[in-house]
Amino acid sequence: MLNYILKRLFFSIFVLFGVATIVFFLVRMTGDPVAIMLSPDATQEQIDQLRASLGLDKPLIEQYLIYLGDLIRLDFGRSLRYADSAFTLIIERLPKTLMLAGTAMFISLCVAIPTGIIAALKKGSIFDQGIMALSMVGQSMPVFWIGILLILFFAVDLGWLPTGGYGTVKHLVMPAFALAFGLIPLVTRLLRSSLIEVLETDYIRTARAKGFMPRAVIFKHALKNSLLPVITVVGLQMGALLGGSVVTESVFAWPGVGQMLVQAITNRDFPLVQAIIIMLSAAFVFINLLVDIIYVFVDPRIQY
Amino acid sequence: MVKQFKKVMRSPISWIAFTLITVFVLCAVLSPILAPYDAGAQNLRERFVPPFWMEGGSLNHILGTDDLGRDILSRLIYGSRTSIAVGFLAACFSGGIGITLGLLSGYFSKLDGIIMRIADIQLAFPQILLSLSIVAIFGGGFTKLILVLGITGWVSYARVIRSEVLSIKTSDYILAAQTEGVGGARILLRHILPNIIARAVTISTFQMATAIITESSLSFLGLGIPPNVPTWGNMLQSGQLFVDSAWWLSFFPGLCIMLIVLSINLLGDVLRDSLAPKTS
Repeated sequence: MLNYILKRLFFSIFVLFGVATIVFFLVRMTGDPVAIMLSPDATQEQIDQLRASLGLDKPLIEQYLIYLGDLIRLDFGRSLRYADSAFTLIIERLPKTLMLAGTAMFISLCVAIPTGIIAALKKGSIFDQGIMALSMVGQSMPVFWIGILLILFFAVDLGWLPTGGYGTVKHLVMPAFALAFGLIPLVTRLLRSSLIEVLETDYIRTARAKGFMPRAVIFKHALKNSLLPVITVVGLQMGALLGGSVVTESVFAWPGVGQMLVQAITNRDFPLVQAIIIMLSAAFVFINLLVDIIYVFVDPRIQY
Repeated sequence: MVKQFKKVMRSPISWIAFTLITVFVLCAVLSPILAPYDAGAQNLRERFVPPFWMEGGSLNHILGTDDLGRDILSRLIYGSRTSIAVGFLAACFSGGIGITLGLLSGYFSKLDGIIMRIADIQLAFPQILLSLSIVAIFGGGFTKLILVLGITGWVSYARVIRSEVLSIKTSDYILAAQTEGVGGARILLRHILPNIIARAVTISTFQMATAIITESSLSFLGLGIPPNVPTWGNMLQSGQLFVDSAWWLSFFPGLCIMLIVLSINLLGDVLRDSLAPKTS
């Protein structure tokens, strides 16, 4: 088992290395990054100065090795706009993004697991069909539109919640729900189909034949196994949540990493963009590694 | 194919989906004829006119006007062009890459490792993040967006096609062709490709829906299609500023995105169910 975990760990590091390499060459593929960073009317002197300060006058391979070395020491360079270490800037904002994504995940599981179970147990009923139709509609709504609809209703019409910003629990409610909205249909549908499949297996029939309470059969026998695919998807969807937070944070002016990424792109703050992309991918890779490890403990059938 | 099409059209849901898609495609093709006004025509005397059923609204502007007095309905009709074109072309482009790599990866085991590792690395990037980083570096715009969405979307094709090829590869008629000395390229194109086209079409519907949402998200963030082009994402971006006074600016473009994505997803669902022997 340790072997398996080590293998996964090695793969995660490999993926991060790949991500870092792709980002490095993407930024350089555009030609001179300095020319993009500075305004078009910058003097040659300014260009040379910035280039030297960023180490861009060295040969490409040397730049690449220095870049990798810096990454290992968690040195992501300095933001051009904030004139501060990119790592510090991101670390300051990362908890806010994780709080948003975590709350969204919590909300979606709280909603999706009960609805998924009921839909599976009442397969074909009006409730089930309604849930399926609703989740189809929900999956088709872009997250920023859900955000705007929430603002229209709860902030503008009812005046219950602030339109955006950060501070109290009230500020968290709408962005978290907007972000959760995309995930709820997915988890509901998945749990429903996986539970339906499990309920048709022999061991459930045996449990029923033995005369166990229907509730015990569902919660003790069936649910355990049908939650397995849900764990995988939840892990994978953390990435989508981190990505979705980029849009959600912009809608609700939530001061997280996502909002900073959009601002950094608009400001052409390349070192910061580079750092955010690598750190968000690292967070995602780490979560997936965690899911893989949890999986080993939850599913004894897994091969390692 | 004809038989499968008939099967698909038996469901009332696919009728609704088909009708909606047809309406949007007609809007895109015939926008200059259908739109009551020019999409860019400003009229500063008629700013923020609400939809016709509200107080102060008029039938001149059925869905109202925006902050520059431009007709919302006309802009929505013109906006369908971008969404449909981007969605369709991106799905074709990513399909081209994904099907090719999926076929190669499934058939030639030497290439399999490399291609699937690249796919794994790419999956470590959430699609919106990858699109954002490419757009951050190369900039937005119509052509670049299609390239970005194509490059970010190929993995879902490649993975499914690969596993299909892996199972088809061992079937008797492929072995027979191989023993007869038919070359790899010919086997892939003549014997395997026709068997996976149906799957690829199904994936492409979902891919198109994703591309439309990603394009509108990027435009909404101000990083996609330039703001002077009327797209649904751009309309939402500028509409959000007036969310507390003029809800119709941001409501209708989002509704259009939802409707087209919903109908494409519905169609994809019906296609998948009718093509999968297990569920039918």
